[in-house]
Amino acid sequence: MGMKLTECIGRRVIASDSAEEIGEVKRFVFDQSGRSITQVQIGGRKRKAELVDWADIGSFGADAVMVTSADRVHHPIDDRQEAMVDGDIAYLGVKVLSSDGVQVGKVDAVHFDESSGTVLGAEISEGFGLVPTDRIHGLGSFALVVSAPSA
Amino acid sequence: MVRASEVVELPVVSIDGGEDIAEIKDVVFDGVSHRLIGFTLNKRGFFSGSLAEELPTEHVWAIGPDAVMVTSAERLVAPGEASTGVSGESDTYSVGGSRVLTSGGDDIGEIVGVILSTGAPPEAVGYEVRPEDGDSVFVPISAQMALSDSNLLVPAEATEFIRNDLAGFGAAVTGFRAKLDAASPARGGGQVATGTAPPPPAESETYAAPVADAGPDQEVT
Repeated sequence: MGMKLTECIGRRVIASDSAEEIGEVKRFVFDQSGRSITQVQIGGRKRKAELVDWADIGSFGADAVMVTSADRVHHPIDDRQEAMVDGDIAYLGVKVLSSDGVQVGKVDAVHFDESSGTVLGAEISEGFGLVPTDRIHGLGSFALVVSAPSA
Repeated sequence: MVRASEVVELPVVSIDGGEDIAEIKDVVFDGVSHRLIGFTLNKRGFFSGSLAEELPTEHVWAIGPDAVMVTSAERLVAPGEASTGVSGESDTYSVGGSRVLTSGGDDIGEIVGVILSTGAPPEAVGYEVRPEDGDSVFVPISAQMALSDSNLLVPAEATEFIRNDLAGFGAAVTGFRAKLDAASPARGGGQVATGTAPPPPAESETYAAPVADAGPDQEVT
């Protein structure tokens, strides 16, 4: 289903208007709910973190990610973006808590839809399996919170 | 079912943000009305100190073995703002050390702790009582329990629901409440033993269900 985050790391990022190669996919920024990608971090060009909003991605292709223009690249503009760029909040490996306060594992993999940037589900370790988007509630520095199994 | 003492130091985590916004400092319990009022909080991390905000019990979504869950960080309230008064005169262990007597005149032991239900919102459902010799027993809480400075009297109808293991105590509490409901369908005035008991906590409008049914397309801009 969809694509795995880890499959996309290192994919080339190209500006559609100039055909210039801007860099490569380094990391993803997710919204507070943990349900969608809001930015893609681009690495390989400058030392300071560079992001491009999902809305400025024309196509997330199998070989290259097409960004409308190189001037759409920006530095982190809020705490959320900073925290994700710095790794304070990270999807992969984060502890998973159910909404009834039980730690159920860690995130092993995240699947997303490459056309919309929507998270399709998170794979949880320790046999908990795949948690679909509608059971994901929040992604923070402490945990990913998912619905309790019975809820 | 969880001992109140085991909740202390658990992180308080926001469901909508996955952040550990506080940790439980102390459990605030009103020994006169046998009610859980809420929790005082510490900041997260060692030596971080107290947090001014408090967590009223009706703002708790769930108590788990690994965290106390709230729907969002906004569920913490400024001191004195909680309708039920987390920072009022209530005292965590005002019942601790009281002797527990049955209506038949037997001394069961001494109160050593409070047992909480874990649901949304949690409540105080029992006392852990330690006999002179032997292991703890668990006594279901009822509003009819008369409490003096040193003695708590267990009403006759509660004695059959006393258990010696916490695992079986949940079913006992359920059974005890069903019996009370059958005896008094409205669960009205007979529940309150003293005229000074505060009103029950506000009901469920104070917490919203997690956004379990919000579709993924809602989040995409």
